[in-house]
Amino acid sequence: MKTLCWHGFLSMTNGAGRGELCLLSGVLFGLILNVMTSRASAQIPTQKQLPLLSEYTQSDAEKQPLFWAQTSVWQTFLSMPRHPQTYRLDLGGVPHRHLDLSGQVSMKLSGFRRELYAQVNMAAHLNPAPSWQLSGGLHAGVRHLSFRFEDVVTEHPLGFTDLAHDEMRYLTGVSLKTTHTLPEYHQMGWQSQAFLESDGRTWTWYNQFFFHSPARPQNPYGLQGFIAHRYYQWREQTPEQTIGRRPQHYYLLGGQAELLEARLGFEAVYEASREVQTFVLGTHFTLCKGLSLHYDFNLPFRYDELQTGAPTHLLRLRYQLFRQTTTVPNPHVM
Amino acid sequence: MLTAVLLCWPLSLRAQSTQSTLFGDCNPMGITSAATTATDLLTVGIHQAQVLRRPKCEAYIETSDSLYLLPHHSDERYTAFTFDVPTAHEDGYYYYHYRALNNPEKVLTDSVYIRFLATDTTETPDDSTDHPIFPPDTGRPSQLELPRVVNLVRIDHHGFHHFKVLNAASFSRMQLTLYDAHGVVVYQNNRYQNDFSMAHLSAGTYYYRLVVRYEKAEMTKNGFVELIKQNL
Repeated sequence: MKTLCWHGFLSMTNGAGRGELCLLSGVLFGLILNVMTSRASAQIPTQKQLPLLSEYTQSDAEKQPLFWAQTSVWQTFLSMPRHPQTYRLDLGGVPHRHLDLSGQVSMKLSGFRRELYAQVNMAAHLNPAPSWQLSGGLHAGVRHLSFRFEDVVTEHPLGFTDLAHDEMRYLTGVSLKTTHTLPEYHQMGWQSQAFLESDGRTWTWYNQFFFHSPARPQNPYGLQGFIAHRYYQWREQTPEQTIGRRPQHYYLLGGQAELLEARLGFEAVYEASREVQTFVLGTHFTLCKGLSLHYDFNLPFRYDELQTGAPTHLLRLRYQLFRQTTTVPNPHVM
Repeated sequence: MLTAVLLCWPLSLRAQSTQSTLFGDCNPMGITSAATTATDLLTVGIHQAQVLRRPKCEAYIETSDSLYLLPHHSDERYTAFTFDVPTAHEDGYYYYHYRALNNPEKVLTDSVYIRFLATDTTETPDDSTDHPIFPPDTGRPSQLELPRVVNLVRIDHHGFHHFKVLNAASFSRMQLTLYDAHGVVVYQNNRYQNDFSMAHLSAGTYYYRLVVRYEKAEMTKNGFVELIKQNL
């Protein structure tokens, strides 16, 4: 019997006595959590994830990166004044076998808005049974929102100077994830995250079920497909308003292929919801060992009269440093 | 060299003397002011304005005054300004610069796309070298009024929560497409009449593409609207 406690959050008993606290990739947590940090960002998840496609890249538990870094640029409406853009830096790694740390700093610019956001993540991983993984995480973030007013045209009687103010918000979150992996057949799992802002009235809840087909080396061509279902629910409140959003369901279908010994890869994702569909094309190229360049093209559209939206571009540069593989000499060979 | 001017009407804003003084080293378009002299501008009796035309048929219109609005709740801040069209009447993007009164230190840039509509389809544009599309006697448009769009909306009990074109009466038709900050179309109307309420939208920045129709021309203006909610 072995009981594992981690920061008062994860307390589990491994009846088999083989419990081993190891770590899932903080990459997954760190990269997708930004979706949940802004109330406005919870509306259409695919468009708000930064990056989108990395969410489906499950890290190999045996190849946890000692350190990784990623810088991203996200832009849309490139021809319009003060178009939305995000600049983001992610850092993470596995400093200890049982602890996964990651963090991010991002700057979002859009119209009059200037948003600076920082977040730290900790995650732990447990193998309660063969082929099963269970992980939990704690997250904390802070957001500073400001407005840079120039050339304001408004009808509001207060005038632009009193309409909006700078504000600072804090956010906490928890996450839980379980995964079942059979390398010859699939990887499937469930993931849930909940976030609460410092005002105590704004919260977000996110769930995901996913299924991945086998990847390398079972599939020598690097072809891999996946399906997923996501469920979002959130509420934002102000002293005068209570804005409860109805649950949003999203259904995703995607695939990826790798060429040139995995140096070049392509991904395609189709996401459908009741109102908006999104088609995403992504590609990545390994520049040198550990360093890769990614580009994603997002195009939202609707089947009603509103039709095609504006494309979004995401450019990422990612670096990963893995531990040196320890090789034990085989005495029988010598 | 083509000539076009940007009228500021009513001319309640302070005048400036020369183009170089106005923009100095912070010309955002990197345009020199050598194409038209200040004397020419003063001759036409307009607040200092200047049209520069690059070889690739794009006209850049530089204005030298604060065309935008006083930050007070009065009718003056809705001052509209008109756009004297280039004589060549070539379709394309026209850029202009201005200074906002609430931040006069910075030169802002905006652009519109103008498409000139043929009034007589029997005319052949082949021999239009001197008068490209519209001969002078065909009643070509001489001035176009720029659309003025409210770009800051707050949802509260005051009720000012519509996407509004302030000088909508100046246009025979308005076509509006409104996007959220992620590129998704949230509203579209080919005959917009200032009747779209943004109260049900999430706070954030929304981008619009507005096509206003004149009698003999169309102008496309892109911009954004900031939607905020009380105690955001």
